[in-house]
Amino acid sequence: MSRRRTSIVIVALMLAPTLVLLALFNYYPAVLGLSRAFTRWETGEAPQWIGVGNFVAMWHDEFLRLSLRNLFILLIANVLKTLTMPLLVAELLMSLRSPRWQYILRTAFILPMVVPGMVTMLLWSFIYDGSVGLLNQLLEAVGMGALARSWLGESGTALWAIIGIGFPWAGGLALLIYLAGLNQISGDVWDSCQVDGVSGLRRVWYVDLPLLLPQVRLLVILTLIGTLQDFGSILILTGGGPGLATHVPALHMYFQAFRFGHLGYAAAIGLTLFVAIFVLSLLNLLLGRRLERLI
Amino acid sequence: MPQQTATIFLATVSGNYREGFHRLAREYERAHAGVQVRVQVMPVNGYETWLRTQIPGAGDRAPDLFNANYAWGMYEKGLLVNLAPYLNRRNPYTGKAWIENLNPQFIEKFKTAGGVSFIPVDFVEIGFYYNASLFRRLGLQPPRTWEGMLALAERIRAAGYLPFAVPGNADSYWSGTVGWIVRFFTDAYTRQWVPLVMSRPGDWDYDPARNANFRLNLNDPYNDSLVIINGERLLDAVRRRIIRFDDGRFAELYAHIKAFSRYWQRGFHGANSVTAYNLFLTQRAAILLEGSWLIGDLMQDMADLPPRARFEWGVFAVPPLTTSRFKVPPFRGVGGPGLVLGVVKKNPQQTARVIDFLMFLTSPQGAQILVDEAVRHRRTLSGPMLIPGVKMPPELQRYYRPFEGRGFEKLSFRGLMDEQESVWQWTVWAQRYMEGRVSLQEFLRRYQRLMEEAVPRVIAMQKLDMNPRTKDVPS
Repeated sequence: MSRRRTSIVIVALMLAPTLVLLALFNYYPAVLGLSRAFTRWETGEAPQWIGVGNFVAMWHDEFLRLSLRNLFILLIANVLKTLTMPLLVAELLMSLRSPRWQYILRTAFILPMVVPGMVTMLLWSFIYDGSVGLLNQLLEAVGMGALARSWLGESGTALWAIIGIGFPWAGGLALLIYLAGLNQISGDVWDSCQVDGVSGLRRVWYVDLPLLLPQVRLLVILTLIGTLQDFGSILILTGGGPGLATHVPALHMYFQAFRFGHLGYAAAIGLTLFVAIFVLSLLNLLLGRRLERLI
Repeated sequence: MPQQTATIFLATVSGNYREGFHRLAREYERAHAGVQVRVQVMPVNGYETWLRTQIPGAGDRAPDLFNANYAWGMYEKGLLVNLAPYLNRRNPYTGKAWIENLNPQFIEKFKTAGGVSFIPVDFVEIGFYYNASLFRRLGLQPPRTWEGMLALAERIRAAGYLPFAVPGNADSYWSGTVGWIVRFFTDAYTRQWVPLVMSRPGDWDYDPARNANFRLNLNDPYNDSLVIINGERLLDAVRRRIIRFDDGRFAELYAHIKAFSRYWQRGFHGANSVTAYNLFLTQRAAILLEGSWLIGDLMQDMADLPPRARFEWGVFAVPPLTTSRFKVPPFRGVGGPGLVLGVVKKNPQQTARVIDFLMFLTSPQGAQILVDEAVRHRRTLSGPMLIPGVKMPPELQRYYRPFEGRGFEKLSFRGLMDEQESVWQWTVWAQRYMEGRVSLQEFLRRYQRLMEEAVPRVIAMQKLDMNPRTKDVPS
C-alpha cells in the first residue's frame, strides 16, 4: 500500500467516529423530522401518514399565528441589536490610539461571553423582578419609582424585557466579527479617507460599512437563525407568557412535542422553521451580493 | 455459576428522601442477593420531559419506579402497571395484606379509571401561612369566611403591607398557587355535577358499595369522596354542553378569583414561588398560600434570620365563601398524596421484583427510614406520612398538625381531565383575563371552546369508545 493511500485510510479512520456520530445524532434525526412532519405521530404511538394534514392544522392554529407577531418583533429587534451596538463599539475600539487600551477594552467586552447562558438569564430575571429587581430599585433611586413594575410579568413589557436582555448588546460574537472585519481594512484606505477629509460617521457609512458587508451578511444570517430557533431564554424567563405575550413558534414546537406529545405536528413546525430559515438566508445572501455589486 | 444481577431503577425528584432512598436500597440489596437498586435523584426541572421520553421509548432502560404525579396520562396509555390486583397480596415485610399498611382512603380517592396507578407514601395539603406577629400588631384574627379574609386583606393593605404574595407564572397556574385557588373554587362550584357524571349501574366501573347510596349533600363536605366518576360520562357531558364553562356559575367563580387578585402583588404573573416566599419571609407580604412541605424550610429560614427579623407564624385553612348566587359548599382546599410512586410496565418478572421492593419501601420500617434520614439530614418533609405506624419527632408534629388531610377535590376543570394542551390553553386565556387583556365574557367563550376542542383529543389519547358500559382503558 502506498504512503498516500495509507494516509488516506488513516484520515478516514480518524474521521469515521465523528462522521458516524454526526450522521446518527444530527443528520438522521433531521431527516427523520422531515419525513415525520407528514405523519400523525403521538408519543408512544407509531406514526401514520397524513400528507399535509399537519400543515393545514398549522394554518388554523390560532396560538401559532399569534406567536408570529412576537417572532417578527424579535427578528427586527435582534437584527437591529446586531447591526448597531457591536458595530459602534468595534468602531470606537478601532479608533483608540493606544493599542494597550484597545486590548484591555476589547477583552472587557468579550469576557462576558464566558458566562453560561443560563446564568445570564437568571441574572436578568433578577434584574427584572417586580419585587426585589435591580431595575426597579434603580428607578426608585432616581425618583422614577412610578415606572417600577414586574417587567416580565406584564404583557405590555414582557417581550420588550426579553429584547432588553444583554443591554447594551455590545459584546459577544458580533463584536468579534466586526473587529475582524475592520482589522482587514487596509490602513491605506483610512489614510486616504483622512487625506480626503472623510472622517467620523461619514467614514463609517461610506467606507467601513460597504467593506464590512460580508460580515454584516454573516451576522444577519446568524441572527435570523438564532432568533427563529431560540426559545430557551423565553422558556426560562416567562414560559411564553403572560398569556401569549412572549410566545414564539419555536416554543410552540417544543410544547407540542414535549408537553402535548404531538411529535408529528411539532416536526411540521420544525420543518416550516427550517424552510423559513433557508429562504431568509437565501434572500440575505442574494440581496447582500446584489448590494456588494452595486457598491 | 455467578448469580445474575437484576436492577430496580428508582428515578425520583423527591430529594428530601434522598438519603432515605439510598439507605433503603442498600438494606434491600443486603436482604436480596442478586438484586441491585439504583436510585437516581433528579431535578424537578425537566423531570416530566425526561419521563415522557424514557417511559414510552426506552424499554428496559426506563425507570421502574418514579414520581407518578409527573406523568399524568401515561397510565391511561397502558404504560404503567395497575397496582390494584397486588393490594390484597401479602406484604412479606409486614406479614399482612399490603393494603393494610397503606392508606386505603387515599388509594380509593385517587383511583384512575378503576385502577390504581400509584402508591401514596405521604400527603400534602395547602394552607394560608400568615405572619402572626403582624396580625397581632394590627389586631387581626385568622378569618372565618372568605369575605372576612378579603376585609382583613383590606386592613393589611391600609396598614402599608402587601396582603398576599402570589406566584402567577404559568407553572403556578398548572401546579402552583393560582392553580390551587382555581381548583378549590371549581371543586365547590361544580360539586352539584357529581351525580351527573358518576358511574351508574351497568357502567364498567360501577361499584355499588361506593355509588349506589350516594345522595349529594352539600352540607357534608366529604360525602362524595369515594364516589367513582366515569370519565366517559364526564366527557359526554362536556361534549353535549350539559356541563358548560361559559355560564353564570363560572362567571361568578372567576369574578371571585379576580377580585381576590386585587390583594396580590402587582405583576404577579412574573413571580415564581421563590419570589412570593421571599415577600412573606421579609415581612412585606402578610399571607402566603403554600403547601405543607414549606414547614421545614420556613422553620430553617426563620432560624437563620437575625433575631429582630424573625416573626411568629401560623397556618389557617381556606375559609368558606358565604356570598354566592349559587349554593356553594365550603372549600375543601387542595391536597393529596405527596410522594406517589408508579411502576412502569416492563415484563412480569421485573414487575414482581419492583412490587416487592415497593412493599419493602411502604412497610412501616421502610417508611420510617425515609422519615429518620430526612430529619437526620435536616431535610424538609412533604407532609405527614400515610403509612400507619411511622413516627415523626414531636417538635415537628406540632407544625404539621393544622394539616389534617382535608384538602380534596372531585371535579377540576383547569383544562380537561389534565390533558396538557387544554391546560396550557386555559392558562393562556386565564392569564389574559386576570391581566385585564380580555373581558370575563371573552375568557368564558374561549374556555368553553377550548374544553370542547379537548374532548376528541382526550378520547383519542385514552382510546375511548364513549360507551360507559365498556372498559376501554388498558390495564
